[in-house]
Amino acid sequence: MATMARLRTIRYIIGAAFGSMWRNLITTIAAITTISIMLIVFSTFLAVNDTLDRMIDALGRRTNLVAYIQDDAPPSQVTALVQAISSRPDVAEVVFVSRDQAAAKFRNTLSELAEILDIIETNPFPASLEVRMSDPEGLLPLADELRLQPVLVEQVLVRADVVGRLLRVSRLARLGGGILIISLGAVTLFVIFNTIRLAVFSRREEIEIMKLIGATDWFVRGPFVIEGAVIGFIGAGLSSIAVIVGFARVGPTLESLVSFLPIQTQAGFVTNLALFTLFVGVLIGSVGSYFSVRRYLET
Amino acid sequence: MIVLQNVTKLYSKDRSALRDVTLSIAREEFVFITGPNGAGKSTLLKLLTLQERPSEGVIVVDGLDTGLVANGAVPAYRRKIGIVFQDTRLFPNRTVFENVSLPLRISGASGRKVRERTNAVLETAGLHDFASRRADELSGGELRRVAIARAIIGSPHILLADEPTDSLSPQASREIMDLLLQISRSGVTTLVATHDRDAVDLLRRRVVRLEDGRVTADVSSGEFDAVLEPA
Repeated sequence: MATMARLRTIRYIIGAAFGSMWRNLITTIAAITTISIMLIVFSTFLAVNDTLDRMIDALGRRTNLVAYIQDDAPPSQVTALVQAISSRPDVAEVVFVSRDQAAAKFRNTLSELAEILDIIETNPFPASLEVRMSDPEGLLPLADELRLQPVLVEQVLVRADVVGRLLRVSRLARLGGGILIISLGAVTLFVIFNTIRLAVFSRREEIEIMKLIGATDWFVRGPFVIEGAVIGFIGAGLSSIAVIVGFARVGPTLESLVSFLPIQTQAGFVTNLALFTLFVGVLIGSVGSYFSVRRYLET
Repeated sequence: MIVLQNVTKLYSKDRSALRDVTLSIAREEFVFITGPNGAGKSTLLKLLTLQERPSEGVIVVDGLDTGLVANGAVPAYRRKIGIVFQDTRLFPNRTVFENVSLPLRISGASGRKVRERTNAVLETAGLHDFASRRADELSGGELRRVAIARAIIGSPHILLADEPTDSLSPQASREIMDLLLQISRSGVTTLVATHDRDAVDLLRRRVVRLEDGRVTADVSSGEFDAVLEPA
């Protein structure tokens, strides 16, 4: 019997939530619009920040380190060195270039100077390792490690100035992006939370009446929490639709205009962004309502 | 039965709303609480509904020491008492039926019970034709009836009414008092806080007069003229 009463109460609470949204339609629309706009701005910024992040990674991956191998280095040790470097998590690829391959490369790329090699009759090029990094942060430490092996490595070439600048830009961009995401996230939370608080504030008397006629805290709070979750879901849903449509329309144009930028337009990324937005919307909506109602429950 | 024993309510060190009030109201009794504005009438009702807690003294309602009612148990306590608020406290954008049936919804009553009981109470309050009207479409007297109907829908043993005839025409006031008396006669202990002398004159029931937070008179019918404010 108590279970039936509880089920009826839950059914009533759900019905009351939707009824109340309909009765307070203007407030509901205002809250949905605010949530939607804030989440569109936030998710667009997330996408821009992600593109910036990938751009930095891509630039980092293009930066190579070249280690010239001593002519008399034992081949077995060179092979071991190649394996050791390859196994590092921050290294994407290691290519061993033999002396002959280096000479051939010289002939191919600088054909007008190829006859110099014929004149001197010997191969002046050392064998080398060309290292492509997956994380540019590891470039300078790797160079230092290789320089500590003079038996194998004759010289290490790294564009330290370029790498240093790239790392500084990368760190700054990530720090700036992080700060902006946190700030914008906080502003988004603040605006949405206050929108919900205002919606609850306009109905504080309703809460008081319910309490005075014997409603439990959950009976009063339930409809507001459901309402907040539904408003958050609809607001976030509209924002997700806007983001998906925006990516579908603008993405290909952007890709062709700035092909050097690794702009994320794959369905997976957009879907994840939409799901994340929905989760945030529902969470803020329901939690915001929960806390907004709490202050009026002490009647 | 309601008993107040040496009840004092202080809002601050210098401001007391009730001072050392001792009062006993028998089961099924109809009592007027009168007195000028600020005498403590509303505070007394707030103490009985646990909107406020006494600073000193004991309040017993239906055998229950209200001081022992924990905050979590207040909703269940309030569901046993019918309350008619001075400003009605109805939901203006809901229908009369929705407003009146709300306490039953809160207690998880079945749809059938809600329909049957609400229709019966609306009939009692003379509101049967108003069931589907929104509260904000009603007159002051009709709103009071709706508030009374909502207060009695849970079949309470005690009914508290705070200025139920305030701002009503003499005719509407009489109708409201008749309705309260009719409810009282069905076995409900009824406390009506009012400064409506006509209403008190009309019903000639026990009158407790409060002044400056103290009980200055407590007289039964027949001798109540002495405790009323000048008309």
